[in-house]
Amino acid sequence: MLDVHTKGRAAVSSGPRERAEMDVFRLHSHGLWATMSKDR
Amino acid sequence: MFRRRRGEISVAVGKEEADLLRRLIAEYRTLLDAGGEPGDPIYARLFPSASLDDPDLDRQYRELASDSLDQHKRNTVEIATRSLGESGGWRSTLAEEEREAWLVLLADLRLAIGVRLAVTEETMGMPADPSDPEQWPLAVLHYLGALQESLVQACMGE
Repeated sequence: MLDVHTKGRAAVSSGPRERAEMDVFRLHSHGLWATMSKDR
Repeated sequence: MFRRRRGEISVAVGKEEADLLRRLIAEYRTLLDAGGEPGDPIYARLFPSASLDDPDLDRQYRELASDSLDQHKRNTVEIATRSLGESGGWRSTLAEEEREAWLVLLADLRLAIGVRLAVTEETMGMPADPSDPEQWPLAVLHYLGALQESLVQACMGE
Protein backbone atom coordinates (compact mmCIF):
# COMPACT_ATOMS: atom_id res chain seq x y z
CA MET A 1 0.00 0.00 0.00
CA LEU A 2 2.97 2.28 0.61
CA ASP A 3 3.91 1.65 -3.03
CA VAL A 4 0.63 3.18 -4.08
CA HIS A 5 1.26 6.20 -1.94
CA THR A 6 4.82 6.81 -3.07
CA LYS A 7 4.86 5.46 -6.63
CA GLY A 8 1.20 5.87 -7.57
CA ARG A 9 0.70 2.19 -8.35
CA ALA A 10 1.10 -1.25 -6.79
CA ALA A 11 0.91 -4.74 -8.28
CA VAL A 12 -1.86 -6.58 -6.51
CA SER A 13 -2.18 -9.85 -8.38
CA SER A 14 -0.90 -11.64 -11.42
CA GLY A 15 -2.12 -14.63 -13.34
CA PRO A 16 -4.68 -15.66 -15.91
CA ARG A 17 -6.98 -13.13 -17.50
CA GLU A 18 -10.19 -14.41 -15.90
CA ARG A 19 -8.69 -14.11 -12.45
CA ALA A 20 -7.49 -10.59 -13.20
CA GLU A 21 -10.97 -9.62 -14.43
CA MET A 22 -12.54 -10.90 -11.21
CA ASP A 23 -10.02 -9.00 -9.10
CA VAL A 24 -10.59 -5.81 -11.10
CA PHE A 25 -14.35 -6.14 -10.67
CA ARG A 26 -14.09 -6.69 -6.94
CA LEU A 27 -11.85 -3.65 -6.53
CA HIS A 28 -14.01 -1.45 -8.79
CA SER A 29 -17.05 -2.51 -6.72
CA HIS A 30 -15.39 -0.96 -3.69
CA GLY A 31 -14.45 2.26 -5.45
CA LEU A 32 -10.81 1.40 -6.04
CA TRP A 33 -9.39 2.02 -9.50
CA ALA A 34 -7.68 -1.16 -10.58
CA THR A 35 -6.35 -1.84 -14.04
CA MET A 36 -4.92 -4.82 -15.85
CA SER A 37 -1.76 -4.82 -17.86
CA LYS A 38 0.15 -7.50 -19.68
CA ASP A 39 3.32 -8.65 -17.98
CA ARG A 40 6.49 -7.40 -19.56
CA MET B 1 -22.26 8.69 13.22
CA PHE B 2 -21.82 4.93 13.39
CA ARG B 3 -20.90 3.16 16.62
CA ARG B 4 -20.19 -0.37 17.71
CA ARG B 5 -22.11 -1.32 20.83
CA ARG B 6 -22.54 -4.77 22.34
CA GLY B 7 -21.49 -6.48 19.13
CA GLU B 8 -23.87 -4.49 16.92
CA ILE B 9 -23.29 -1.50 14.69
CA SER B 10 -25.69 1.34 15.33
CA VAL B 11 -26.17 4.65 13.60
CA ALA B 12 -27.40 7.99 14.91
CA VAL B 13 -27.76 10.78 12.36
CA GLY B 14 -29.89 13.88 12.86
CA LYS B 15 -32.64 14.97 10.49
CA GLU B 16 -30.56 17.58 8.64
CA GLU B 17 -27.74 15.17 7.94
CA ALA B 18 -30.17 12.38 7.01
CA ASP B 19 -31.89 14.72 4.53
CA LEU B 20 -28.49 15.58 3.11
CA LEU B 21 -27.77 11.87 2.61
CA ARG B 22 -31.15 11.45 0.90
CA ARG B 23 -30.35 14.31 -1.51
CA LEU B 24 -26.91 12.91 -2.24
CA ILE B 25 -28.35 9.47 -2.95
CA ALA B 26 -30.95 11.01 -5.29
CA GLU B 27 -28.18 12.81 -7.21
CA TYR B 28 -26.16 9.60 -7.34
CA ARG B 29 -29.17 7.70 -8.70
CA THR B 30 -29.60 10.38 -11.39
CA LEU B 31 -25.97 9.91 -12.34
CA LEU B 32 -26.45 6.14 -12.69
CA ASP B 33 -29.61 6.62 -14.77
CA ALA B 34 -27.91 9.13 -17.06
CA GLY B 35 -25.39 6.45 -17.94
CA GLY B 36 -22.55 8.89 -18.32
CA GLU B 37 -22.24 11.54 -21.00
CA PRO B 38 -19.05 11.12 -23.04
CA GLY B 39 -16.25 12.83 -21.18
CA ASP B 40 -18.11 12.91 -17.86
CA PRO B 41 -15.25 12.64 -15.36
CA ILE B 42 -17.45 11.58 -12.43
CA TYR B 43 -19.05 8.69 -14.29
CA ALA B 44 -15.62 7.76 -15.66
CA ARG B 45 -14.26 7.48 -12.13
CA LEU B 46 -17.21 5.43 -10.87
CA PHE B 47 -16.97 3.12 -13.90
CA PRO B 48 -13.23 3.25 -14.40
CA SER B 49 -11.19 1.79 -17.20
CA ALA B 50 -9.72 -1.66 -16.75
CA SER B 51 -6.59 -1.03 -18.76
CA LEU B 52 -4.63 2.15 -19.29
CA ASP B 53 -2.41 0.85 -22.08
CA ASP B 54 -4.63 -1.58 -24.00
CA PRO B 55 -7.91 -0.16 -25.33
CA ASP B 56 -9.06 -3.55 -26.65
CA LEU B 57 -8.56 -5.15 -23.25
CA ASP B 58 -10.52 -2.28 -21.69
CA ARG B 59 -13.36 -2.56 -24.21
CA GLN B 60 -13.63 -6.33 -23.74
CA TYR B 61 -13.68 -5.93 -19.98
CA ARG B 62 -16.39 -3.26 -20.12
CA GLU B 63 -18.58 -5.41 -22.36
CA LEU B 64 -18.26 -8.14 -19.78
CA ALA B 65 -18.55 -6.16 -16.58
CA SER B 66 -20.19 -2.76 -16.83
CA ASP B 67 -23.78 -4.02 -16.51
CA SER B 68 -22.77 -5.99 -13.42
CA LEU B 69 -21.09 -3.01 -11.85
CA ASP B 70 -24.10 -0.83 -12.61
CA GLN B 71 -26.42 -3.42 -11.03
CA HIS B 72 -24.14 -3.70 -7.99
CA LYS B 73 -24.33 0.07 -7.47
CA ARG B 74 -28.13 0.06 -7.89
CA ASN B 75 -28.46 -2.75 -5.35
CA THR B 76 -26.30 -0.74 -2.98
CA VAL B 77 -28.57 2.30 -3.41
CA GLU B 78 -31.69 0.19 -2.72
CA ILE B 79 -30.28 -1.24 0.50
CA ALA B 80 -28.98 2.13 1.70
CA THR B 81 -32.22 3.95 0.85
CA ARG B 82 -34.31 1.40 2.73
CA SER B 83 -32.09 1.58 5.79
CA LEU B 84 -32.11 5.39 5.83
CA GLY B 85 -35.91 5.70 5.69
CA GLU B 86 -37.86 8.35 3.81
CA SER B 87 -37.78 11.21 6.29
CA GLY B 88 -36.62 12.33 9.69
CA GLY B 89 -33.45 11.39 11.53
CA TRP B 90 -31.81 8.01 11.21
CA ARG B 91 -31.38 5.84 14.29
CA SER B 92 -31.01 2.13 13.75
CA THR B 93 -28.79 -0.90 13.98
CA LEU B 94 -27.23 -2.10 10.76
CA ALA B 95 -27.51 -5.56 9.30
CA GLU B 96 -24.44 -7.02 7.58
CA GLU B 97 -25.61 -6.12 4.06
CA GLU B 98 -26.42 -2.57 5.19
CA ARG B 99 -22.88 -2.04 6.54
CA GLU B 100 -21.46 -3.25 3.23
CA ALA B 101 -23.85 -1.03 1.24
CA TRP B 102 -22.96 2.09 3.24
CA LEU B 103 -19.22 1.41 2.98
CA VAL B 104 -19.55 1.19 -0.81
CA LEU B 105 -22.01 4.09 -1.15
CA LEU B 106 -20.03 6.50 1.04
CA ALA B 107 -16.91 5.67 -1.01
CA ASP B 108 -18.72 6.41 -4.28
CA LEU B 109 -20.34 9.63 -2.98
CA ARG B 110 -16.93 10.87 -1.85
CA LEU B 111 -15.37 9.97 -5.19
CA ALA B 112 -18.11 11.85 -7.06
CA ILE B 113 -17.64 15.03 -5.00
CA GLY B 114 -13.86 14.63 -5.03
CA VAL B 115 -13.80 14.44 -8.83
CA ARG B 116 -16.16 17.40 -9.16
CA LEU B 117 -13.93 19.48 -6.90
CA ALA B 118 -10.71 18.08 -8.42
CA VAL B 119 -9.40 17.53 -4.92
CA THR B 120 -5.77 17.13 -4.08
CA GLU B 121 -4.11 16.09 -0.82
CA GLU B 122 -3.85 19.79 -0.07
CA THR B 123 -7.61 20.30 -0.55
CA MET B 124 -8.35 17.49 1.86
CA GLY B 125 -6.38 19.27 4.56
CA MET B 126 -8.33 22.53 4.14
CA PRO B 127 -11.15 23.42 6.51
CA ALA B 128 -14.47 24.29 4.87
CA ASP B 129 -17.13 26.63 6.20
CA PRO B 130 -20.50 24.96 5.51
CA SER B 131 -22.30 28.32 5.63
CA ASP B 132 -20.26 29.54 2.63
CA PRO B 133 -21.94 28.24 -0.55
CA GLU B 134 -18.59 27.94 -2.32
CA GLN B 135 -17.13 25.82 0.46
CA TRP B 136 -20.28 23.76 0.96
CA PRO B 137 -19.26 20.83 -1.33
CA LEU B 138 -15.93 20.49 0.46
CA ALA B 139 -17.70 20.64 3.84
CA VAL B 140 -19.97 17.82 2.66
CA LEU B 141 -16.94 15.85 1.51
CA HIS B 142 -15.36 16.22 4.96
CA TYR B 143 -18.63 15.20 6.64
CA LEU B 144 -18.93 12.08 4.47
CA GLY B 145 -15.31 11.28 5.29
CA ALA B 146 -15.99 11.47 9.02
CA LEU B 147 -19.12 9.35 8.60
CA GLN B 148 -17.21 6.76 6.56
CA GLU B 149 -14.38 6.74 9.11
CA SER B 150 -16.84 6.09 11.94
CA LEU B 151 -18.35 3.17 9.99
CA VAL B 152 -14.94 1.68 9.21
CA GLN B 153 -13.91 2.00 12.88
CA ALA B 154 -17.18 0.44 14.02
CA CYS B 155 -16.75 -2.46 11.59
CA MET B 156 -13.17 -3.04 12.73
CA GLY B 157 -13.76 -2.72 16.48
CA GLU B 158 -14.41 -5.55 18.88
